[in-house]
Amino acid sequence: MTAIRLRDVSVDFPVYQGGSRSLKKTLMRAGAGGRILADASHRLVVHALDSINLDIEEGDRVALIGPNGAGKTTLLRVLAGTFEPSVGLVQVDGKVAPLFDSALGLNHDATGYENIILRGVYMGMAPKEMAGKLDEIAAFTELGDYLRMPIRSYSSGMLMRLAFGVATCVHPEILLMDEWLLAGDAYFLEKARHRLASFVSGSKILVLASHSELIVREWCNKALFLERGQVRLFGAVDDVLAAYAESAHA
Amino acid sequence: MPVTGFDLADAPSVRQVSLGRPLPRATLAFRDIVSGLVHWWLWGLVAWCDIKQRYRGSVLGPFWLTLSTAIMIGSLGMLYSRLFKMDIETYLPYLSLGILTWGLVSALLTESCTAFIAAEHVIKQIRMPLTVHLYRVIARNLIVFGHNLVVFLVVAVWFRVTVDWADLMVLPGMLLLLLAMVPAGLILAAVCARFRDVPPVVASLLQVIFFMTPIMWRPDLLGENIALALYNPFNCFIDLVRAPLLGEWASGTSWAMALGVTALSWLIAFPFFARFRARIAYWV
Repeated sequence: MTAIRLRDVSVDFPVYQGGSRSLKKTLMRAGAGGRILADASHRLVVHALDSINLDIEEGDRVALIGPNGAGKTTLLRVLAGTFEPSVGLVQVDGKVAPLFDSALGLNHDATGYENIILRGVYMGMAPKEMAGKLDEIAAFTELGDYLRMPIRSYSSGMLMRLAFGVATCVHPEILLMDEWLLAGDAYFLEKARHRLASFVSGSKILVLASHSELIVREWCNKALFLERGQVRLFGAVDDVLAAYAESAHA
Repeated sequence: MPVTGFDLADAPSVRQVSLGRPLPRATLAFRDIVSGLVHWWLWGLVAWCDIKQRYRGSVLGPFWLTLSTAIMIGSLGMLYSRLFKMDIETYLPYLSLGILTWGLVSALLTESCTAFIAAEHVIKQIRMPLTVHLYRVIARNLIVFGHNLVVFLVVAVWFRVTVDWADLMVLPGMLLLLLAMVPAGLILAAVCARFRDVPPVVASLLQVIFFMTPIMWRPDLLGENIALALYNPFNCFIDLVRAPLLGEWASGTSWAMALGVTALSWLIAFPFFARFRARIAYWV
């Protein structure tokens, strides 16, 4: 069963700034008994996530909503397994494909084809497997001869097609997305929608961070309202969006 | 069952599923180091792409490095063989192997510093063994080392350095060198991710070590202070590679020191990595 379970998950995020980035200053502070430079290089700690309890089951398409800095990106990174929480338990059953950044694993001097392989390999595929999927992905992206060119000549929309094509070809069970992905041109959005719809109908999980009510209503059946690192509300899209709108106006 | 909205405050939706405890840190760290190595196609491909990128837009590619190494070895060889009053036929092979091996060691240490910093995007987005990024640096520099080896081949042919089966002792030497570079690189990569002022310090230290290590000069020039050279760990590792190819046996001291340093760096690096592995994603 594909599922995501979080128990009392907290993430404390140290913000290293100025002096605390420097070994010299850190050592000097230790030597000075923490008095002299303590103010100049105090370490800020952000409680990015604060005891999150969450169960996402198979078939859920969850929108993460909330104001900036609510912890949406951090939560996505915890789900992707890259941020290990300071406290709490995380259990993610299923093959995860994070899709946060269209430029991931892309070598700007390499051709589109090379980058398809490179990106697939970063997502956990063997190069041989990727070579077998090359045609399928090339057809999906509709980039044609552009795939033979270095991707530094691509527009951001073209990069996105490439990224999306690779991410969904690895047949993940859990897809984690940031909103950027749905910012393509109308024609490609239609294609992406088909692909994503068939992907989600395979009763897998989608978690999508978004600010747009339109996107949330279209793509998701559940929503999670995060605020200051805590879960305000988790449930059906309509209810959560209503609560979000209320808190925004309040 | 259709899901309706509910407030977690009134009705906890959390199911009574008990989650497994996370594994001990040491297990996770060990798994990271091993499974990183197993994913050889991942770091191999990325390292290969790094090299290919150096070839793009220039005919010579990484051979530019080879060319500059060749010029350096050639001119230093001419100058120092006279300064030290040494026979160029024996000095140049010695010098070239020393500089090539030193080049590998120092490039590995310098580039390890940015192994995690440079992979920031990947580390934050995709879960994969962190050591993959270090193995990539090692693989890339081995390929460059392979390019530079051409310089030694030319020198060897020119000065008729004898080749025999004993030369194969270079392989265990190289292996031990790489085995020591993994823990050293892990510490550097993690520390540099946290403290951004460390890479320049490492670079300037390496410059000092280059002159302190018998690369351009022979240890016996030190006279009674020869211990300074013989117990220099950098010299020991270089000796393991240099001596067999010159038709000599690496000294027992070199082997003992190199083994000891390797064991020690693992003893330091492993607990360190186990302790801080999970924090690295927050540091980069």
